[in-house]
Amino acid sequence: MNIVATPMHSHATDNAVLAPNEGAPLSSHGLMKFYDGKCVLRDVSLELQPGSVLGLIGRNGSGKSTLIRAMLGLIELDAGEAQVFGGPALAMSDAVKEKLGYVPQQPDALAWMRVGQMLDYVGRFYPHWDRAYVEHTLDRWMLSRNQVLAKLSPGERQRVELIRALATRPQLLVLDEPAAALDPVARRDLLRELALRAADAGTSVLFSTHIVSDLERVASHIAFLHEGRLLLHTALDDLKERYARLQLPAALASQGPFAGEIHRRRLDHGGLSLVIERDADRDWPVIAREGEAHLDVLGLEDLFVEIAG
Amino acid sequence: MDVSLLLIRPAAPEPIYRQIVGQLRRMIASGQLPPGEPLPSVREVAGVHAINPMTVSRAYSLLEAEGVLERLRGKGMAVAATHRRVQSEDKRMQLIEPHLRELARQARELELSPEPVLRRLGDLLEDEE
Amino acid sequence: MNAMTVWKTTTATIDSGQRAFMGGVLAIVSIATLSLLHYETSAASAAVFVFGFGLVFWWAFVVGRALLLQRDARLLRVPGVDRTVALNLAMQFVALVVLPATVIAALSGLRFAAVSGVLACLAIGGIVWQVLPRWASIFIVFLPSLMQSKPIRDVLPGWNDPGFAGFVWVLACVLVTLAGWRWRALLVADADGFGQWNMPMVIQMQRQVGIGGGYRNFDVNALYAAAKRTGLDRQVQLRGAGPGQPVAALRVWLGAAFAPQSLRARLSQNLYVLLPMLIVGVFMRLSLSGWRPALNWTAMMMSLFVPAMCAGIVPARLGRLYRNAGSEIALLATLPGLGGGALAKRSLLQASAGWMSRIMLAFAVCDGAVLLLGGNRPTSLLVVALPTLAAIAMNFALAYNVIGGLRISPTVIVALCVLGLTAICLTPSLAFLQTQPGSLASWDFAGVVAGNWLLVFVLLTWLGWRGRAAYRLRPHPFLLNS
Repeated sequence: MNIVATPMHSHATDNAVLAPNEGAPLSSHGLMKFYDGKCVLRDVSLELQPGSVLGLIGRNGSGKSTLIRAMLGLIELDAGEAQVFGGPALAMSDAVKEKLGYVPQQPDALAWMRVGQMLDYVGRFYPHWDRAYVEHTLDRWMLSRNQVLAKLSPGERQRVELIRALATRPQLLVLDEPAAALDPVARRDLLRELALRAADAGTSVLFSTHIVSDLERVASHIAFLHEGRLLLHTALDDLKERYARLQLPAALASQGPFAGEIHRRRLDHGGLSLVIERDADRDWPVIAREGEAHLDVLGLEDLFVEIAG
Repeated sequence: MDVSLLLIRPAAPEPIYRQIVGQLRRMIASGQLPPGEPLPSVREVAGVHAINPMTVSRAYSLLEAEGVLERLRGKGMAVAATHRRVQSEDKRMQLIEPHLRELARQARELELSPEPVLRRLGDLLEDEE
Repeated sequence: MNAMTVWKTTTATIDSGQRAFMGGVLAIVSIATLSLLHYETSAASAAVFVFGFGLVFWWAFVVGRALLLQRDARLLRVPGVDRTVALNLAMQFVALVVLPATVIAALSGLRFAAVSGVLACLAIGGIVWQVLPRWASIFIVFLPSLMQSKPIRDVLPGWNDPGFAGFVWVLACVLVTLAGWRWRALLVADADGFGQWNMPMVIQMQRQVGIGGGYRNFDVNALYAAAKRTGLDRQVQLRGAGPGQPVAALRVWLGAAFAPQSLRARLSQNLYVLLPMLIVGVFMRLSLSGWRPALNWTAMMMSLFVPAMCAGIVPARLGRLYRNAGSEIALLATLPGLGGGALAKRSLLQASAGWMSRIMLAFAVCDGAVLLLGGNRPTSLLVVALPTLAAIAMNFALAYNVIGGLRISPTVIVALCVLGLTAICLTPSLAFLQTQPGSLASWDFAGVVAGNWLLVFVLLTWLGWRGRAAYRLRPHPFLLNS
């Protein structure tokens, strides 16, 4: 694979919901993680700005879950530093933990409890536990309080965990593949909830997914993880305007790399398919004006497939 | 204005904030949204369409900077009162320009001669009347 | 289909740790059998049973798993597995029953028909143990001691009786029929349809995870089964557990046997262990003269069983939680109200290994009191004290390694289990030995037992020290091991 990208950072300019003045909800620098000699995270640096919704995208096994666990201090790192609200992730204070809601990818915790029992028990630990929200949302999502958690379908289980995380009124919400087990209606409901949380309380959200359409709705920023490396980190709107696919005929295929080229893929008939980026003046690189070249503005999903495929 | 009038297509190559800007511009240019008409709050748009509130406020801010929208004291956004109800033809042509370019590109790709395309476009425009 | 595929049917279904353990057991009993035959030709029949002891475990836990493969293959509609499993069984029978029987018969002078018959009974007995409902299979554990009791021994034919070979082969046929009948029923049964009492060991084995394995095929159905089995959601006492009471709170998070419950709830859960104990005790009363020996016997059996059963519980539970990234541990790491790193670390130990130690100590005190009241010498207390102490040490040492994020090699576990079990089995004979003053033989024996215990405790101290050092270095106690 031929990727010549460096992580790109940009910030949303028109931020209506500014968070209080404190350290970034999540920030990590140079994260490295090896499992059995295999490198799962390679020098990943990522920051979550207050009030932003960061979608972490990548193929299965690209290291998304590991990155999330590392950023929250759930695993030890081989190198690098992770911080939550300005303090080390591996030594979070109760004050920081109270502001954090986390839902792991396949939640199994307290599976022997009943729905209501688990929510009551976990609620004891959070001073800002929103009991009314729990009651209201259980009804709205048609979940029975008396069912044993292990007996729920994966989608129902996921929704109970989302209620658990949201009822703490978190300032930082971290969701690992929250939508994977949900049906389209429940998924839209979750996205709406995230959007409203961001609007009302300025909640910062980090969520991982491989379902691109979820991310396109609700994310303000996107980070693209590929084989343990962070390829892109940018505002979502910028992404769509800044990158495009350029198809070149066989005659030009041997040249390059061209200015503004991010990724190249050789086509069957000998041509080239490039992913290119606008230059500093927001113009497409020179190669795009070549007569035989064909420029396509890409949706996120196509861009994802183009780079990761 | 009713929030559901906006049509959000997340998968389109056009960023969502541009989709909102474009649709509001067209609705205002056509007079569908009269001056002074209040716009739904950022929260409302974000909630109904399950999109990021920052995206909505970015679209609103852009239109505010252009003078198309104005911020009411404590009441959110509204269509600017000073804005001429119907813009000059030039301005309105500018709004449709990107779509015309895209149409022209596709017609060329299909190697269609201009006449039938223009004829069909003419028919469509007259049908609408 | 080649022979390798057939052989792998067995080995593929258990993980390397369990394979090493079972292989180790088989190797040890083989060596023991051969040395018995070599040095004590008069003990030939005992040698058969020593080997048979290993055989029971191999057939129960290894061959039983191969049968599970057949069940899974049927559920997944994979063709041709029935034949592979049948061939595998035949192969195992030749390798582990026919072949050893030939060797033993040649070395001991016993008749081949008798030896192979006994071994066949024990091997198939292992399968029967696995496929019978739990309430029935519990009794199989007590079968060896029942066979030793007088009324039964009087009825059974001895090795030298002319009808012995015929008798054991008829018994083997009965066992095959029983195993086959139950197995056919299990093949088509719905796994969720089993309750607390009728779940066969083999199905339970598939879902539960012991020290060695199965962490990776953790599934929601297993959790449901576990939840249904214990009914813990109704029995747990949540009052007094929460922020500010980290130990009680953590016991709830650890769940299972660690969750705070009333004594009544605990007794009802463990009924399936207590009831057979009671029945066997009553039976011993009938076969022995008077209550006192029966009580002594039961107390001694319990002093061996309970620590052996409790020895791995804490590391097994913790290992399971720390390996699963969606488990309680991930949430505990982000949960407020448990105090700072050092306090949380202490609380976790108290809630896990500390709690299990308290249960074991309470039991040991009761058991010791029964032994003393039964008129035994004070040395008999060793039979309670040593296994209990070792089990507590093992829980702490291994738990430290799990929460310290260290891996324990299967070899160490195997060594620990083998040494520990040997020590536990030898201790009663030492404690109850009627030593003649100055008798050299008994002092030799005492030396062997003491050395064995010393090895166990040295190994545990080393493991515990290593794990404790790693645990202290961790920034917080809830770091996932995955």
